Order: sequence, then structure tokens, then C-alpha cells
Amino acid sequence: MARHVRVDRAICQGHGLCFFTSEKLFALDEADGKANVLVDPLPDDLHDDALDAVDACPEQAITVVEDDD
Amino acid sequence: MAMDEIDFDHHAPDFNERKYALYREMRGKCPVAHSPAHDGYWLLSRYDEVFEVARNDRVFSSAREVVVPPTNVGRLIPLQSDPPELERYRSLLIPFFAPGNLKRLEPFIDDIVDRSIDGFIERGEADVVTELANPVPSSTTMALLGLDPADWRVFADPIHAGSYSRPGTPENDAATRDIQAFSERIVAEVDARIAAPRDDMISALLAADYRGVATTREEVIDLVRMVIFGGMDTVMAAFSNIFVALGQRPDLRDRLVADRGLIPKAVEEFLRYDAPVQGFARTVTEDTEVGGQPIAEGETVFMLWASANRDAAVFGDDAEELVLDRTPNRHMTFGIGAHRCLGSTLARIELRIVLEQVLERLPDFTVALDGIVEADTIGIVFGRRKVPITFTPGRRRQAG
Repeated sequence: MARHVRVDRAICQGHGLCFFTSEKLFALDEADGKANVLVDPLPDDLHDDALDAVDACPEQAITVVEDDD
Repeated sequence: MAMDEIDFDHHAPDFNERKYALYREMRGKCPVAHSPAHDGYWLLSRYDEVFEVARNDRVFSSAREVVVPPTNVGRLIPLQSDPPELERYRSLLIPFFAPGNLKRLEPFIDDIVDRSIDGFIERGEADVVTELANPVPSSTTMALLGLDPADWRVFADPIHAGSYSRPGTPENDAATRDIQAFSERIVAEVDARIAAPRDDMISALLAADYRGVATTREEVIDLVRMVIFGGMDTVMAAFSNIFVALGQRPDLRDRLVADRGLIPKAVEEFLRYDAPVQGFARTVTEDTEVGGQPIAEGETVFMLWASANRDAAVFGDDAEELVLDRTPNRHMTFGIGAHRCLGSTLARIELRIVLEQVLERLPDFTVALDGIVEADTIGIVFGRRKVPITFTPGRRRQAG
């Protein structure tokens, strides 16, 4: 089982709050300001960071999903 | 036609003192309410409806006006635009408000905060609005654009005068004329850079294109006007509200003095608790429904950020209280959706730096609560004209 952070780029408006929550997990695209996920799958030590980013995103564009890989 | 016709006018003289009680009542009884004021407008007071409307730019247009009643201060973009232009305008501005670019501004902000506090630290008293909250964001906005920071009053004074006076009054009319006059200064600054580009934001905007679409001179003028309007007034207002909140709650001031690591979270909470912008309007482009209430094409819908910020359904039973370390804190103070404030990161940096320095240099400040001078209206921006403080005098950091 692996966890992944997903940013829905159709919803993301580039406010950058995920980036400030965790610079290890997110980078802001230079062209459109939207968030890119830097680490996949999500390592255990960044799981709390990811959940904080889910809570921080004003647009509710971030989710943490699990799969069976 | 309206189910809930309410007595609501965000420019009314007594609105400031009534606002939060009014919002509470509206969230409970009539979350989608209609007021006959200002030729009629719908008021959205709950988080969910505000969230829904703010993210639907197709049905809820920003192209006409986002304040009620409309002002006559020149076009502000991207604020007054819809997709697809909105996306282009936003993309043009985004690089300048990216964390990396703003990092370069921090030494400037440190310095202007230092010097502003130096200006009154030896006196033991000050009006923090005039002497700190006003010069810091205004000078910073000038520096960001590449304008001479020393000239900040040319823009800041008329904008504040316009925000804090009620529409239709002589003071407001005069402010509108002064704002129209400073637009000529913006035009001159833009034209000077068309003739001779410099290494600054205005020149970069003139040279910028979006997917092959060039930026016109008129668009750059309107973008610069937007940055000036967005950067000066709202942050000053946020500062004034923070000082008042800390004046009312010295225990919170002491907590922040003792734990300055709490400042970033506290900034978010202050922004949530007293939003400097009560709300923005949208114009409905087709017959629709919000929260089960039919709303017709052409009508105006007003999203109350300040009320959504206190919605217990989102923030819990203590939504009306200041909780410095509130987490999560997904407040609406910067708006939401594609129009959400582009300067939010810069605003946060300014608020953090000022709070850090104030709590370090005048940790025992108290606010003379009976000396606070309120604005005549908070319908566009909720801030204070004057917030007098006293404190144990300290030393200047820089030579006078």
C-alpha cells in the first residue's frame, strides 16, 4: 500500500499555502504559480505535512489517496 | 419576490458596531438574504454559499463591479475581469508575488519597519496607524512596483480617504477626484518605461506576454492601479485591527511576546477574526439558485468574507473567539477562487515582520481604546483611522 498526494490543478489557484506548509512536499510552478508535488509516493515522515497541506489549501484542491501498489 | 428582505447596508453609519451580531443572525435565519439598499443586493453570510459563488466565475461575474455601490476610480484588473482574460492577467502578476521574488523585498520591509518604529520609539506613544501601519505596506507596494517609495502618500492618502468615507459625501467625492488624478501619475510612470525600460516590475509587465498575447499599455496601467489599491489599504486596515484586538486582550499580547513562534498562526487568526474586506460582489449572468434561493440574471450577489470567517459550521463553536493557534484556519479574508488575493503572501510577510518588531521593541504597549478613531464606513475596507498606543520608550536603531 502506498500513499500519494494529489493536487487538482483545475482547482489549484496558486495561493501557495501548501508550499509554506511543506517545502519538502510542494513546489510552486514558475509559470502558473500552481502547486506541484515533489515526492511520490508519500513517505511516512511527510504524512503529517501532507495532512496539514490538505487542511491549509483554501480551495480544497489537495487530497491524500492510498493505492495497493 | 425576495423571501428574506432584510434591513442591511454595509455602508450604514451604525454598521460597524452591529456587523458581527448581524452576520450571526443572518447565518442562522437567512443565509441568502435580500436587502433593498443600493438598488437591491443579495447577501451571502455562510461559508458554503460564499465558497460556491466565489468559485463559479461563469455565473457570477466580476467584470462589472465588485464593490457596492460602484466606484469611479478606474478599472482594476484582474479584480474586475472574468475568464479567459482573468487567467491571463493573473498569470502576468503571479511571478512578482511568488515567494522567491518576495524574499528579495524582505530587507526593504525590515528597514522601513525599523525606521517607522524609530520615528516614535523614544516618545513612548504613537498613533500606530499613521506612523507604522500606513507607511509600511504603502512603501513596500511602491518598492515592489519599482516606484519611488518616498512618494507613497501620493497614492495612499486618496485611497484611504476614499475607503473610509461614505459614498456620496464631499470627502468621498474629493477622494475620488484625487484618485482619478493619481491615475495620471500611473500613466506617466508607465509611459516613461515604454520610452526607457528599467529593471523593475512595471517594465517587466510591459514586456510580458501570455501564450503569445502581448500586454497592452492600458492593461499595464490597470494592473499597476490594482497592485496599488490592493497593497496599501487592506494591509494598513489589518494592522489597525490587530492592534485593537491586542489592546483589548493584553493577555494575548503577552502570550505572543513570550512565544514569537506563534506569530504566523496568530496572523492568520487576526485576519480571520477581523477581515479588512467585509465582502465583494458578483453580477449574476444567468438565472440561478444559491442555497435554494432563486436569483435572477443581472442581480448583484455580495459575498460576506467577514461573516463566512465566523461560521461555526466551519470554524466550530468558538468561531466568534480569537484563538491564536487555531488550526486549521481556512479563512476567507483573501477571498477564494481565481480572484483570491494575489498579494496574500506579501501581506503575511509584512504582518509578520511588523508584529515581530513591535513585540520585541515595545512589548508592553497598551492601546488607548477610547482614543481609537473609527472610519465613517467599513463598506469597502474595515480599518481604523487612528489607534493610539503608549509604551515604555526605547532606543532608535538607526541614526536619525
